[in-house]
Amino acid sequence: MIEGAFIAAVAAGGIARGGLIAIAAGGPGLLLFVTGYDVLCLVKGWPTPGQVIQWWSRDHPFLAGLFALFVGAFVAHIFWHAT
Amino acid sequence: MRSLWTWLWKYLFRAHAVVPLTVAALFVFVTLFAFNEFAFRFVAAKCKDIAPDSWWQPTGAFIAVTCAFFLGGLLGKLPHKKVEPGKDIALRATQFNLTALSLAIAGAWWYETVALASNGKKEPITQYVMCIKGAQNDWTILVFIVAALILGRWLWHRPGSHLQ
Repeated sequence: MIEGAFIAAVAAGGIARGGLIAIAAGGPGLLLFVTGYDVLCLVKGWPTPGQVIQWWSRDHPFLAGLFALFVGAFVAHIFWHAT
Repeated sequence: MRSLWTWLWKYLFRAHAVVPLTVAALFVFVTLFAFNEFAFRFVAAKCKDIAPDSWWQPTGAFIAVTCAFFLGGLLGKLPHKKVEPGKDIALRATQFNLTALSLAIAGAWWYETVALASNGKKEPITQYVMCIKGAQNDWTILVFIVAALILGRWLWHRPGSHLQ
């Protein structure tokens, strides 16, 4: 289904550039923000996002597993599409 | 000058800081080049067709991303500063950002569902990713590998040792 839409979009003259830029630069940009915030926390001595998640996942391992499943399913869906 | 090196050593030249520093330095360039490529150089009408399967795609990429997730878990064992949970503003800021990130992921998932059900009226995120992959396959995989590394580092709880 997605492949059909993709081929149709290519045939129709391409896809929206705004969306393309948002995804292409937004993905690495989000990782840049996260790691930049991580560095800021290290310098300031604040709890890093990783530490906060670890505290939370230690208290709620089942929810942490569900969260990992949710994120993993989304990433797998958009990356390993059905052909 | 000596105080600068002392400061850098105290706060940043530590094993636990290597991962975010390396990724941040790398992704400054990746983000800028990605924006430059797709905002100014790439012709949106020329999304390439899906390449045939190979050893690297999708099997090798899947293994690489999965390994990065587990490697992230191992990196969580690197010694880090001991910070106890508290009710300070930094903890709340981190919790707020993580909640916002979760909401963003949920929103993206919702949009993907709506777009897939719209019969071509909306373009799914998958479609954009496929177009980007067609143009920059290896860089796209790198972004997914690093994202898996960070998620693995976050989600695999490793008490590890603490710096004094």
